[in-house]
Amino acid sequence: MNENYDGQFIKDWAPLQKEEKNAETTSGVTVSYWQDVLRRLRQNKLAVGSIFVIAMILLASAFGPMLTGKAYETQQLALRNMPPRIEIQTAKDGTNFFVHPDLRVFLAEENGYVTEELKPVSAKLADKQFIYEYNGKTYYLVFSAEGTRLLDENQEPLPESKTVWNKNYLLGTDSIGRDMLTRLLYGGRISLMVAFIVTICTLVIGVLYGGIAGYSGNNTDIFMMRVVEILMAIPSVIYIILLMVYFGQGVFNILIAMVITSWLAMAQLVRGQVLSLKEQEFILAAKCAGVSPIKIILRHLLPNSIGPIIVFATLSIPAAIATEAFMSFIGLGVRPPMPSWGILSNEGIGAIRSSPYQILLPSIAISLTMFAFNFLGDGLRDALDPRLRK
Amino acid sequence: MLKYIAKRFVMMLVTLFIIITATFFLMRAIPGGPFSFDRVLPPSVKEALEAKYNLDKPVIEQYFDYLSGIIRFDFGPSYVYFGQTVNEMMADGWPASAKLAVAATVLIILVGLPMGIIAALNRNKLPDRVSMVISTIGVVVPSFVLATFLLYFFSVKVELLPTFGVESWKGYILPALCLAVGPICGIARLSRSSMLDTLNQDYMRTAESKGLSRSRIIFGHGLRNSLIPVTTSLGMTFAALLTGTFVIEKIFAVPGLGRYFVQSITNRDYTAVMALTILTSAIMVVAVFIIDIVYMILDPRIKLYDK
Repeated sequence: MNENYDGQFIKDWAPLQKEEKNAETTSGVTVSYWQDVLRRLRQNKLAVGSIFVIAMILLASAFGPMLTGKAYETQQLALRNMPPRIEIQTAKDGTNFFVHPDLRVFLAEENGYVTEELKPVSAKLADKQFIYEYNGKTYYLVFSAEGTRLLDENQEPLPESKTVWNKNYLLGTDSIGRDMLTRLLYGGRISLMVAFIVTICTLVIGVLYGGIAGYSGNNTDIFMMRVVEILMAIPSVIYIILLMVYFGQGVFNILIAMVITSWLAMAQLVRGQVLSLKEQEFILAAKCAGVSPIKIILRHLLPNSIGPIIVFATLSIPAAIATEAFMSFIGLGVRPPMPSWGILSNEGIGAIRSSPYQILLPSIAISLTMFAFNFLGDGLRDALDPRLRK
Repeated sequence: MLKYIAKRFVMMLVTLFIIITATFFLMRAIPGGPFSFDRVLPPSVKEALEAKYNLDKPVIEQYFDYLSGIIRFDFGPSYVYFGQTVNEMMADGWPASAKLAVAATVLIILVGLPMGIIAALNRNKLPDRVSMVISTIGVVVPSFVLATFLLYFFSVKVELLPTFGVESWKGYILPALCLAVGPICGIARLSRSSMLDTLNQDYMRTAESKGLSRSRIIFGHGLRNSLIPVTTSLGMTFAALLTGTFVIEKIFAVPGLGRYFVQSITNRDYTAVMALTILTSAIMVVAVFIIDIVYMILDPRIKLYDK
């Protein structure tokens, strides 16, 4: 309190200018729930990155198979097990060779384009040698425990060598000479399609079943949920295996088998949500206002429980991808030669020593997709959870 | 409480009955039957085969025969390996699967539990962050994908461990690890959240204000109470591991139940598929039943029987 308090007081309480009058009112753009969710999601870098990765994977598997210029089932037996990176050796006369570790010699171009296989003229197995002739010159392929070397006519190693990308097959070929890139992209198409369709079907069946059970309550609810409980007690993987043994391999069959087993958890979730919401006042108000039950479910109950449902659906996509891959891996999924990531893993696992890229590529694709969807699901859960809302 | 147990027991029997029935009729409904080979059999041979395996009887009678067989724990003969019963084949596969399951469970307890507890005690600090990142990765990656990465690294790149087979103890390391990583991460996350829950309880504050030492508070009060959900989850995991994990056993050529299951699927050995389906489901269903009761005994606050 200073001496000229009174004067200060009067000065402090001078009449307001007109525009200052509104300073006390809280203003600003009203943020709707979904705008708020979007804002929170945008702050989560992992989730945004995941959306980007998912978009790339979706685009690549949708349009990629058309752009590679190769069909997923075309075999080139001569060019089997070609790795993505190849070592080109150049002879003195400028001829380029690619020596495959399994003792095959190919003519190649310097930039990494393998043209044709060179057949040996004769073999001296006692000296561990194959003899080749090209353009009037003789080459020796010497193999021993230390490795394989291509020697020219003077028994000297070729002067130049460099490792470049395989230009015909960017990601190499599989054991019967099919393009890995095309198969990987097409396989992604199958795997993702199965996952999305299963999730959508699960969503529809689960929401309907759970919604009806939760809303009608009483004996209907008890009966409907007992059925779900009993079916849930059967381990789902074994159930799918059994169904697939019965149906036989095929994309459509694996879809059905997975839908039959996966709607149960969704139904339980929706029923729980509906059950906790339907006792609240706004539902009572809607009932008093004479809104029909269908409209109450569609307009009030489902929109209010959409958050957990979306999160659950997002997280069930990677689960479906894993299940499909697993089933295809044990030979009960889609029918070869159609690729899926599980089929590719199954075909690649046998060659893990000689051609590790054949198993690593689909494994990386599966892991990347699983990560992206899981991080997105986690991000959505954080963004949608109203308890975190400030 | 007894009433609740009896009720759960009846539910369990109903579930098992449904599983057996569904399995039986699904397998019988597969077109072709077990003896339709590529080579056409003379009708007399086929008839003799069907008579030998009682396939000429009406389906309902076969069903009751099968049901009474299962009650006596007899799963009938194999249709592919003549002269061998499914029981004998399961007895062959059992030990390898069990060894693997025990090894994996030991790993889960030794690694997963400390990981979760250390994370909880250092909440939002470096150990917590690291273990949660690792466990997110471990939960997300499917076991067979993980198996391929581990196999590539340890057996192909470093050549430290065998690629397949269980001739020596070394052969068990990779499959047990692959089986364990997922559950380890699951258990780590579960024990972390359970421990955090416990740490916030009033009795923890009481213990602290009593002047107990920190280790006494954590081990005597915190750990004991936070272990309840972890124990039940471990039980489920062990049951799942015990029945063999198809893919891991297939990848590492472990001669266990899982590989045998996959093999009998490929060979269309329907009795074996049926037996393994029923056995696996039964173990899971019984495990859930036991765990529910153990849960109730461990935590008197849970009154399941009120439902």
